[in-house]
Amino acid sequence: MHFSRSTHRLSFRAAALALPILLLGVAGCPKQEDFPVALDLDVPPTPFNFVISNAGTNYTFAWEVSDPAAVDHYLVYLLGGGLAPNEVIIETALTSVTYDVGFSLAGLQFAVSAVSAQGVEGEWTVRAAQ
Amino acid sequence: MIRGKTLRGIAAALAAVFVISLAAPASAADSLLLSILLPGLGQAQDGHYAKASVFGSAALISWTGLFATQLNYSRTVDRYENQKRNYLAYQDQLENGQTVYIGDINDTYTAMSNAYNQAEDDEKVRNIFIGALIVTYGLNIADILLTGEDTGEVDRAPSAPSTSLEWRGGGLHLVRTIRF
Repeated sequence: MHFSRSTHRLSFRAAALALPILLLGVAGCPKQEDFPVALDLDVPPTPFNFVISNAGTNYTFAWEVSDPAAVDHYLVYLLGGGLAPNEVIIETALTSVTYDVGFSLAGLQFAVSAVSAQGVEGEWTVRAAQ
Repeated sequence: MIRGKTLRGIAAALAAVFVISLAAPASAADSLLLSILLPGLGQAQDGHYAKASVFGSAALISWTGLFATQLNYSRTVDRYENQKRNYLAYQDQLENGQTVYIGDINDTYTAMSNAYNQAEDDEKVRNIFIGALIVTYGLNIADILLTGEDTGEVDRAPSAPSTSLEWRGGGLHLVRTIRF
């Protein structure tokens, strides 16, 4: 290499400029932020022993939960089974309730879930009417 | 954040710099500058074409890989950010008195976790190409600084001066020939 001292200086100055630009390019790349901590959720217990009985169009639903104190209220759904959307038919604080569905059909499916005071709805328990 | 459009803009700018550097007047001082712009260009200017193709290929593969993996990584980060936004939005819904099904929260958390893990993996792959690029540039600049210009001259071992006896002007002369 036959560089004069001035061209040497010019080249190294160019290198000194180019390297920070490259580093800035890499540093400017997107980066996933820290993984967020999980939300602090009060998850209510899942109802069990879900029993459905009916007399005509009146259906009676009863269930139990392991920790009633952790539950604010319950939701009872009439499931559409893919033909219609699932619909909340009862919102109650009790664990036994009677409701007039308006029609009677063998194999109707219902679900019950508990909702905590925080507003978190727990897992469903599904049962078909006899 | 740098998005795909910005990356394409940088690629276009680099390509423009590459074309401009090809049109630049050749001189020994340009070799280092050319090599900084794209490894192999300086070696090509100095006449080391084999090394130029090796460095050039390595740089092109590294740059192409870097852009491809960076775009992939950016997409995964976007997916993670969206899932994270959805997940954190559940907190606002709960604070506003809305009921949120735990299954939806769990599904979003799973999707967010998967996107985060994918982003971590994509980042590692991207970093491999950054490392390859740094090594390529480092070796290339070191080569330019340590290797001289190939002028096409071949070094010859100095031959011993030949000595002969010649009849010149009616006399015998001892002639010693020295070649330069």
